[in-house]
Amino acid sequence: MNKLIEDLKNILEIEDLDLEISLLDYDSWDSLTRLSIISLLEDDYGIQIKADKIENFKNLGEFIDYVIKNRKK
Amino acid sequence: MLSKIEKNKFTLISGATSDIGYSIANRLKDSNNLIISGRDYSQLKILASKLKSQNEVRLWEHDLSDLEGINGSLGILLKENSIAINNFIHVAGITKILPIRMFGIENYNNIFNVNFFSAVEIIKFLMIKNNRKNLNNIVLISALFSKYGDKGNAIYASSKGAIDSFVKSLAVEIAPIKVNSILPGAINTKMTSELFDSEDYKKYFQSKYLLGMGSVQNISNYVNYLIQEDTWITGQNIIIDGGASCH
Repeated sequence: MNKLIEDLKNILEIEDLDLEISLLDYDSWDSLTRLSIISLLEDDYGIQIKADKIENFKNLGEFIDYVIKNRKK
Repeated sequence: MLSKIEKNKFTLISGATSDIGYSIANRLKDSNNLIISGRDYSQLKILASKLKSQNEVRLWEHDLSDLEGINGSLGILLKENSIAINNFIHVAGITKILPIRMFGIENYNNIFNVNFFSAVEIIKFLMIKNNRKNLNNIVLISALFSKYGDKGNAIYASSKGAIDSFVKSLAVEIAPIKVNSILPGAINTKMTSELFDSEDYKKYFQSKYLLGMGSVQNISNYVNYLIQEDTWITGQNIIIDGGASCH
């Protein structure tokens, strides 16, 4: 979980993650950021995920739960 | 058909199980024996049976990111079958789109190894004295991205740019063996399907692609043309893109 938090901070370029807000609300959110997350999930967690699914999580907390629950690595 | 082909001469296609690779194999099978190559032996077997070629089809299973193993593995294949390679079509390629600061060393090494250095290793093998007397053509599949930039694409594009520069010097060095690269524009394949699915891309294509989006046949037809004996083309980066780059 710690690694995931650090990876997300790195991708979103932010010191503190707000778990209550949606990924789309982050300043750095764009198509490339979204691709970075898809790539991270694929390479480090063995999860295949589509672009629109990522944007449909209610907030970052739910997204993190999803990754932890579905990780294959 | 068979009388024109020398029985022991084969066209090697790397990345044969990709959509472009399959189309090339299908286009070339009537006039060429084929060696189809990929990482997955069972996929290669399926491909071989799908092709239903009247000529020979051999399978070369090898993960091209294993550069050191290429020489030995290919050598064994040729020796065991007593065959030679007269054409090499490099279709193998992987893509990854990421902002540049996120590109790990292992990630970009992998892309360069498969997309570019594996072709170099295969060509080194084909240029060994006993092999090169059989070699007529080398065709490498590059990408329009190598000439025209897009965000997130710097690494993939540069791996293809390497191909384009390589082709020019190699053509000089090994003439009269012909060496060319093909730069396809946007074509719907397994590799691009998710990427091109976005609304942004769909709108972009409608205005940019004067002849609409491409098909794999647009590429394989040209590969076939390039390897003909009377085709007077070498050292070229050939753009096949339905007009996308003319404006």
